[in-house]
Amino acid sequence: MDEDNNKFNRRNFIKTAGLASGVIALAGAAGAGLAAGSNKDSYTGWGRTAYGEDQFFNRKPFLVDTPTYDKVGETRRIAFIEDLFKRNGELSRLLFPRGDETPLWSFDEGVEKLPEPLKTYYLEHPDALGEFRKAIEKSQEQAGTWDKYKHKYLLADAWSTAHASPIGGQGAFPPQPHGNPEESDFRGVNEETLPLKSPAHGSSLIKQIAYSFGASLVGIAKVKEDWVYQGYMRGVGKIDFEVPEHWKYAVVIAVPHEWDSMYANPTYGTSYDAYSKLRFIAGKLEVFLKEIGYAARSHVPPTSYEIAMPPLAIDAGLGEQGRHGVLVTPELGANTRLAAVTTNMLLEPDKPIDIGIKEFCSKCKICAEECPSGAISFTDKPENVIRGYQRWNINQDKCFTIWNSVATSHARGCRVCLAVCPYSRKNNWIHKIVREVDPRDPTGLFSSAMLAMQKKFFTYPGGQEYLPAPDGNNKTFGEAPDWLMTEEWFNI
Amino acid sequence: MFPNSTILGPLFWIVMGGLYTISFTGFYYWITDSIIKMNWWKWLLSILWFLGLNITIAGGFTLFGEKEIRAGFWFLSVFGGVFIVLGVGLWRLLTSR
Amino acid sequence: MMMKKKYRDLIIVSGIAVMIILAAVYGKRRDAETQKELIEAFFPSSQYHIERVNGNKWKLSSSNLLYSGNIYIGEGKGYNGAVSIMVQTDHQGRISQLNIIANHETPSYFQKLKINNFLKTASQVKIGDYVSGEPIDAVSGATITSRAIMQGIRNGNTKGENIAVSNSFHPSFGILEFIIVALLIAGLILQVIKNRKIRRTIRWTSLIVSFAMLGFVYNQPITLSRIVAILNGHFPDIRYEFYFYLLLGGSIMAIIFTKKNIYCRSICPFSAAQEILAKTGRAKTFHTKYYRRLKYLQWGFTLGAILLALVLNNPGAAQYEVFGAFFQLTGTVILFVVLFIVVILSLFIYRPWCNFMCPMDGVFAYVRMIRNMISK
Repeated sequence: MDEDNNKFNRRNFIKTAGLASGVIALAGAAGAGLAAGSNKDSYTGWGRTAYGEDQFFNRKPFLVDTPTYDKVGETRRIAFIEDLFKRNGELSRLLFPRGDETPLWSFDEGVEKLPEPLKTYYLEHPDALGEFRKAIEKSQEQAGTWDKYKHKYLLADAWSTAHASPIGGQGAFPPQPHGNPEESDFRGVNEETLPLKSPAHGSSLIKQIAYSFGASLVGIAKVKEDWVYQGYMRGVGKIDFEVPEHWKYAVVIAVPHEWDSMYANPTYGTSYDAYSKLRFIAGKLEVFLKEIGYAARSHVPPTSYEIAMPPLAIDAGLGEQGRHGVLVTPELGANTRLAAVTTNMLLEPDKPIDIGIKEFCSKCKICAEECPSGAISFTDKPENVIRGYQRWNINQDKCFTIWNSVATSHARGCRVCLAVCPYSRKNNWIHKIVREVDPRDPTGLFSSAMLAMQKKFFTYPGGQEYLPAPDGNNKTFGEAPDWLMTEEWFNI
Repeated sequence: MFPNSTILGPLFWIVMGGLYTISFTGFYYWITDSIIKMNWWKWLLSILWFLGLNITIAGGFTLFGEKEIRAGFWFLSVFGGVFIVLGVGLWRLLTSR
Repeated sequence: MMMKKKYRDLIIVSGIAVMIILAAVYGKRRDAETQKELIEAFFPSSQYHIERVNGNKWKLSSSNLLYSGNIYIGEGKGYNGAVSIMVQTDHQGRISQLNIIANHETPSYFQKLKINNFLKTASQVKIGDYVSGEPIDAVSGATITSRAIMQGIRNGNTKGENIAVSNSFHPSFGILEFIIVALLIAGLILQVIKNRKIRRTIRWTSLIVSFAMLGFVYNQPITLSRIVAILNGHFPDIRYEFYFYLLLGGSIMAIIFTKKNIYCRSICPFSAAQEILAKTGRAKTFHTKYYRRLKYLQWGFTLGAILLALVLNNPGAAQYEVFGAFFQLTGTVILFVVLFIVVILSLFIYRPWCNFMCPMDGVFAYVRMIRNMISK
């Protein structure tokens, strides 16, 4: 009798406890979720391990033999004048000469009076010159209004300038090459080269070394002629050149921007944090390769390249090109910044991947909608043929005008498209599910459903809002981290 | 979960495992004491429902943790609503004869 | 006694009609701003010089003479009324600015966002491309508004430049129209068939078709703001929205000839949603002795919303249905709270929205009242 009663009570107790435990477990799930969401460890990259743990996405199921860009016609190399910075640099030298020399050209003289190759370029792109003029006007406006914002964005600007400090001038690392590449890339190379066990060994070693220098993602590609700029070579000047014999392979390195500041673009983020990291990694890798007996040349941002990075990175299997023209990788999304080291060391190249970025981009268009300049195409399918490749075109000139319009001390970029890209997400369980399921779903239904949620649930300020008054309200996509908000630390 | 501790994280999940076991046992006793007749697919649906509810709540709070408050509320109300409806439906299914 | 009821009905019917007419007249009393004022809101006279060419075209030049171009103003038929579009072009016909200067569309956040993006896309095309048709795709979820924008651009350009356009009438008969006709027929068949099993099959088939197609795929129920727009003299464009005439006309015809409201019974997608929820939770009909009074409250609320929207001359103000929130996740926070409560209630109470909240119930009740009055 007593025993029965006990048993009965125990049973009743567990029934009540079961209900309570269920509720507590739900609370526990909520707590675990909250922790997963706010955990800073879920940010990928930023040099967290020296062993390549940041390259966690298993690319094997998605390897393809041909890269996902579409070759549709006669291809050609990129003329250096097609690079916005080279072009703007050339124009600026004419418009704003040093000292008290008189300007060599002014807008009133018209396109016809421009020296080659600028003349031909602007005759072919009549809107670009007007856009550059607008950018100069905006830049003066920006300098004027900066007084209004310089306290609010003091920390962000100081942080950016600090990151930019190892980039320019004589003390920059890696040092600029001088002389022919046949000379400069071999300078200081160890004369003794040990026999390499196999190209696969070479690739593994170089990747591990790059990881140890702080690279988040590393891939290796054969250097393709189409991606090599024509008409300008660092260390030599404006010359036409064949791709040097010893630029056989490129080790492509990717790192992200610091995530919280990146989400708070355009005003709180910077390009230079990733740039300076890349320069250190690529520069050190160049030295390492030379020390073990191979020619090496680093190609680093912002402008020290002979090779265009995104297509090279696609060849190296790091990711695919997005609507915004930026490389999208499975680990970092569009928050991917690139550098490369070309070498004659025998390496085993990686295969390109296909994780369905193009299909997703044709549906999504968030970057085009959010771009303050309207530089990103809205067309469903990539419709522009650029140097023989079909892709979405980016209006570089319009983009640059916005650099000169946002509330920063000078034109140091916008990067809103990196922040709003749905691929630029943390590495926690909820995004991991999407990351792994989406490329395996051949129907595209999963990504459509995710995209619908993305658009309904999340807040996007919308194009103009990122600009200062009167056009917008200096909005950022994500909330700025407290350590970049001046008002948290100083009385302003 | 506990960034500055290496021991609290595993402990947390041990406790969570215990809680799930107790709640399942309680539910099992509760079912066997009631007039509800269970079979394998009823058990499966019930467990899936509870799991789904957990994932929904964890998902919503993950978004809160990412400072996506609006998205979190949306996630919780849309999927939470769906799970309430499914829960009522499941309950009617369990109690139907 | 009979006489008394007839007079009471007559008073109610005509009273409501008079109220609606008065509200509509009051709402229309305010004159729209002049075109010049509208343009000057965008191009302040301190910086720009504008010169009228005709009712749809203005010449624009900036005071420093660096810029000159044209402005076209045209109207398109939107969801709730006319949408006025202002297009600024250069002399090559490239669009440099595209603005909505007046509209009555329902201001849902997402719709606003979609339309802003649509304006961006629409301004990437030359103005001349709109003459022959629709050069870009309408955005889903704001189809009618984006069509109205393109129509407005075309309208302003063709009238401003005196370009002749053929305005032929081709009502489109697509899948949506087919579904609506099928649902109407099914609704009518339900009135005559007595066999319970067949009735149940037909009813559930049409409910599920309506739930999936009218609800999720097309999201096109009859809404109160649509009714208000019609009362306000704005009829939807029959070329694009033939389905709407079918749906409303068919439902009203059914009331007139069979006395039965088949729309609410088996066509409305949200009623289908509630039927499904009721089935899920085995909901019971809510019996109360205050049923009649609650009904008057429901109808009164509808009438109030209609009158308010007419007085404000803004059909969007009348929209308090939860269709959009349920099927497309669009709407205000309050609507979502209401929707959440309605969904949970629907599990336990049979059709709470239809019985106690839905504005269409009142509209159809009014139609039936008129019908009964006339038939006597």
